[in-house]
Amino acid sequence: MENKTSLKTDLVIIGAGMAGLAGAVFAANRGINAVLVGGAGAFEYASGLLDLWGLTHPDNGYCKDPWQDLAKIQASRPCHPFSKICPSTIETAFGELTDVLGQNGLAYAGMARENSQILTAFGTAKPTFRYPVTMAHNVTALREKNPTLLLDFNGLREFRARFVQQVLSSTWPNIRIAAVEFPQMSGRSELVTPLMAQAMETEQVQDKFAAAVRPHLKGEQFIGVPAILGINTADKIRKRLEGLLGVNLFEIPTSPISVPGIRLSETFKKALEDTCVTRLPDQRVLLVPQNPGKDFVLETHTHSGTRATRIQAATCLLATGRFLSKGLISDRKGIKEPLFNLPVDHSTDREHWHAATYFDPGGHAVNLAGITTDDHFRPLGRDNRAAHETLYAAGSILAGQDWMRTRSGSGLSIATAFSAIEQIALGRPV
Amino acid sequence: MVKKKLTPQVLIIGAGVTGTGIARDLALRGISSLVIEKGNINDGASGRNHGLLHSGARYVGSDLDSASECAREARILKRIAPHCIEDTKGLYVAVKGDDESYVAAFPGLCKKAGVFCQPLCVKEALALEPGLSKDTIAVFRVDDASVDPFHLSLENMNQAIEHGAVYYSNCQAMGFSLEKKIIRKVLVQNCLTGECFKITPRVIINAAGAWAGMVAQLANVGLDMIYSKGSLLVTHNRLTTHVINRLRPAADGDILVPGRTVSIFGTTSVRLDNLESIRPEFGEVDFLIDQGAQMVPGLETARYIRAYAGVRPLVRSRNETRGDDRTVSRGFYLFDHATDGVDNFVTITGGKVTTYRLMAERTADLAVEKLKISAPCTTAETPLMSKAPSKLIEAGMSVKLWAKETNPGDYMMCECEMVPKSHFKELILWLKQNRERADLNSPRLHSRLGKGACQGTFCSLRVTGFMYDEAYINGSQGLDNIKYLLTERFKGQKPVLWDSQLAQAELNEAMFCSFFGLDMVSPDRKG
Repeated sequence: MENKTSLKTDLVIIGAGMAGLAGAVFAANRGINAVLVGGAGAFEYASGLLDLWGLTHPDNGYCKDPWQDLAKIQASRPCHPFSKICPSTIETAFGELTDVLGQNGLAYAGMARENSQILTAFGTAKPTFRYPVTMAHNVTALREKNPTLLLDFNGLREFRARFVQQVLSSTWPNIRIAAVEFPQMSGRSELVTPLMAQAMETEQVQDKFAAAVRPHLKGEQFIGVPAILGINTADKIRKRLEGLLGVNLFEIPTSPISVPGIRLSETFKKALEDTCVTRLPDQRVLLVPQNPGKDFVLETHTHSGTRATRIQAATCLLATGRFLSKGLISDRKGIKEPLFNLPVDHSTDREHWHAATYFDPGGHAVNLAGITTDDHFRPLGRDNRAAHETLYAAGSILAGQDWMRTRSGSGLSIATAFSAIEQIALGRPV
Repeated sequence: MVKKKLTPQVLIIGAGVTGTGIARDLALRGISSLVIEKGNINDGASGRNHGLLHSGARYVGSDLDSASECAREARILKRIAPHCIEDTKGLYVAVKGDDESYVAAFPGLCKKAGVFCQPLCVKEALALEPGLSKDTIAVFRVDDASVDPFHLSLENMNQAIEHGAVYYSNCQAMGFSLEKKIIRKVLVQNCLTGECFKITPRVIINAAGAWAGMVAQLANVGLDMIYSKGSLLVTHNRLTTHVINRLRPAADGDILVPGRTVSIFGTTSVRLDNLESIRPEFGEVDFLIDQGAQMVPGLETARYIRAYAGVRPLVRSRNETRGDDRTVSRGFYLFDHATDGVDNFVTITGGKVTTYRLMAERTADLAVEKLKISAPCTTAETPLMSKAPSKLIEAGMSVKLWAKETNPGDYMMCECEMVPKSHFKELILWLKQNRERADLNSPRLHSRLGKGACQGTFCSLRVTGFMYDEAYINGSQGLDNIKYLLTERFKGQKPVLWDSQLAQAELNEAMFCSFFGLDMVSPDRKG
């Protein structure tokens, strides 16, 4: 198949997860011509919450003030990616990104400098830094323990109201539950969150929904629902329903498929339309030739394996993530970075990859494995010097961090992508 | 505090395939029995083996009697329990470098033992099983089959219960009251509640597998047990249609058994000093894969979903004090402890899944003799088929029935193994009727839930949601259940976490730790 196209650009971003997309937004804002390669499938698994840092150091509790604990990390763990970024830069990065998301219809909220707690579909409280405004009353109700009605939908496996109510029964007793039929979906034995959210986009469904809910209200000022309030205009839908019902309505994030994750992905898509960033969403980079020249020359492939696009770029941002997205690959004998064959900091003895027990508070060593960089987020080669003058890495592929246990996934991606793009915008680092 | 008074004719200690088989045997003879098990059905070696119904060919080189016994018993089981067995047939395969004199002797040895064996030309064999090594030099076809030991034990126990037997899980024998060479009373403790009670049986059968020595000790009877650990690997997909055996004198990493949707590969033979830590070592996993890949190269690149280990309960006879554990007889041992001064106490141990029915028959014969009654064994003729909802045990079976039934409001609880809500509900009701706990972990033992590729990532939360809906669980029990399940499953996953399964583990941790925060939930938390 020779319908291959060629692109020449300043920057190629490999990977369209949080780091790649945030990087693309930052590049667009700075007028850097960029090509972003990769699908956004992983967003179905993303909570839609923007964590910064959620764990106290070193005693592993949930933290209120992420900046305080980040300062401790910076003091004690110089290898941590966050130790290479000044806190005000992290704050700027969050601000710039949430502004763009807000301008494109996905407003985020949160306290100026503190974490908030979000009620999850397990009845647990998750600390996060920025959350979609459709979850604003979730934070309030959880904090104040207000009388709340939780809605249950028959056939929705990802959210069971009694689960949430029971887990909270000793600390938040005034939760009631009510089962309602989701409009226009009776007869289906299984409900899936994206379809419900899609249906919610019409006023007809919203009206029917409000009519179904109204009889169940017994003076509660808050109603909690799984995150299904629309895809593109969620906050408008929430406000309209609040008007119809006369209560505060909030969303509760569920296990995948995650509607808030899909919203995030859709909003990124919108934000990058008509910018200097070209997206190649259905393609992926399988191999990067080891070229001695200054520019990166790489080829993308479609999912069926056909060669699609030849890209020549002066700089590259590697944002391919970890094992799930194949940014890192492993076998019985070790872990590799498949595109540039960069050294991966890890133990080659598999026995050291995991702790003895699953919930070991120290986490698992394999989750700290990754790419080591210099202070400008340029991956180091085997000689401990930058592997390439203009190759940068961002996001969860970076070594020395465990985003899952420290609740820092989005923050890590946003902050490191921001730092890398700033470097690229400045021209060549010193 | 002692609350209950129980007087079965026979008390059986241990609910592996042998203990449950004895309960069935006695029940069919009209003799009452109570089975106590310190954990759950098949927690020991009965649930931690290949699931291979031996044709007998494996033992022709070492133990002709064992080989003949296997061949006879396998034929009986295929007749009485076809629903627990997949008659896959087996291949014995030698590759370049294997002992050619053993290959040459093999058909003669099989004939001597009465074990069916048919030579195949290599080309023919490769057409049958394209996964075999290109270095294959000789192949024989035998009557091996794949058996589900869980299904077998559950059917044994359920059929016994239907004929009046009683089963107590999580109950451990703590002590015997010995009086004039007779055990009068057995003190039992419920390991979950701490509750103690006494049982007054006429005969006590020790079928505790690797733990038989400890039970015998309660009657001051010494049994010289050898703990021989065997580790096995479970693949994500089924790799072959036949059972594949290495054609060489029995060694490690010899047998690949298809078990419905997966394949099980093993095993090793590692001597243990005690039973405190029965788990596969990383080195064993690597060794197994290296060995197996010589015979079936796909084992090198296969995706493994977990590893597990069982302990063969071997007994050292007085003449064999040294040597490889494989040379210790795999035949079974039936001890009448009258010779040790305890008249109503019997131990049955050793053996293998294939011969469990015969072991149960011999043991029950001895018990009947001690009861001084006459009641013949009918287990070889009576179909092993209970009325319990065992359809959840058979992979694929559940979904076949689901597709036939029109059931509005029904949905899939587990997509890896296709377990629908309606079948699950039926199982829970049955469990409750049979005085078992209904939480996330007990149904796991009676269904295929959590056994597929996602290893519980998605089904665990759906099942928990269902349990809350039906008010089977309350408070924060569901979170504790999920934590326990993930902790337990992790033990078997740890040695095989690389490539796709490591990616799966990453998704799992992102969801349960980063998002739901289960790593921050302590079991004794207040809210």
